[in-house]
Amino acid sequence: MKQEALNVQLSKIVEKYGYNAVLQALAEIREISPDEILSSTESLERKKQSSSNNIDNKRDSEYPPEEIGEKFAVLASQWTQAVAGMSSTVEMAKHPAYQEIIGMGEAVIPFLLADLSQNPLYWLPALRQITQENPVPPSQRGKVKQMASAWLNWGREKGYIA
Amino acid sequence: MGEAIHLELRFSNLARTEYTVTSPKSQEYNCFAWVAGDRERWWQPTPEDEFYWVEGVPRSETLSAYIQAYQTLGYTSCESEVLETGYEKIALYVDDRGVPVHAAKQLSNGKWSSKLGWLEDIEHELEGLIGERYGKVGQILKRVSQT
Repeated sequence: MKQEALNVQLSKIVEKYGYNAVLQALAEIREISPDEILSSTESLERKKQSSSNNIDNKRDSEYPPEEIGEKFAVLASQWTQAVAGMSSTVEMAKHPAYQEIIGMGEAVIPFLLADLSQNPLYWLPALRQITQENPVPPSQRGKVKQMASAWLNWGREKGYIA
Repeated sequence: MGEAIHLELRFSNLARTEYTVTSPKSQEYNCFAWVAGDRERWWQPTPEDEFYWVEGVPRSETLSAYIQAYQTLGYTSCESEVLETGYEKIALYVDDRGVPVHAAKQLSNGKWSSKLGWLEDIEHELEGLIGERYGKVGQILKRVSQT
């Protein structure tokens, strides 16, 4: 949409709901705040690090481990803002932020799994693309909560979840 | 449930048409499932059979594949979006490449019902969702009413 048209559109919404309400909605549109994701994944990451001796913990990411959580949180926030309302997971996954998350490789898997209980849909394509595996039985395909559950079981079996 | 600013910010035509939010957000089903009467699965013809798709229908993001999927439920192509007594209608929105990006189903009052990705369901006018995100209406399908 052209900037001028966008401004007109925004003015109309401000006129209808008021400036403060629109500002609040724009803030809420973020869907996931980086802090939210970091707090939910920090404990999981700590558990994973403590059991790392028993796990093939090879990393293929260019990001230092301490930066992965922060980077994931920022990208996840950008992505959810951009694609909310889209109907196609194929289109959602094409977004540059999502592709960058996929590009983080195995190192980001614990963060994807940690967010699945809150957002069972978001990271299913990323997990599939990073791992090249599909632990979801055919009878559960499309049943998002069951798909997330299958991935969480996979994560436990592979040692990503302590 | 009324209107919602966050939807009007994403779908600009909603602000100048009538609509109302009819459900909370859900990640468990999408618009393509919703118009088929399925609120338990996410329908998507991903090539890697990741999500649910109708068996025997090509797993490709094409209008033809989507039409074939709904044909298995008794729908056939139709020219008009106008409410017809005794029929149920589906509208497929397509992007500028002709790829289906959204689906809505017609209600008995002539309005349309949509599930907006992982956001809410809304009752709306057909043109309310035309725009940058959902493109334009590319195909209407209809079948004999099942109720």
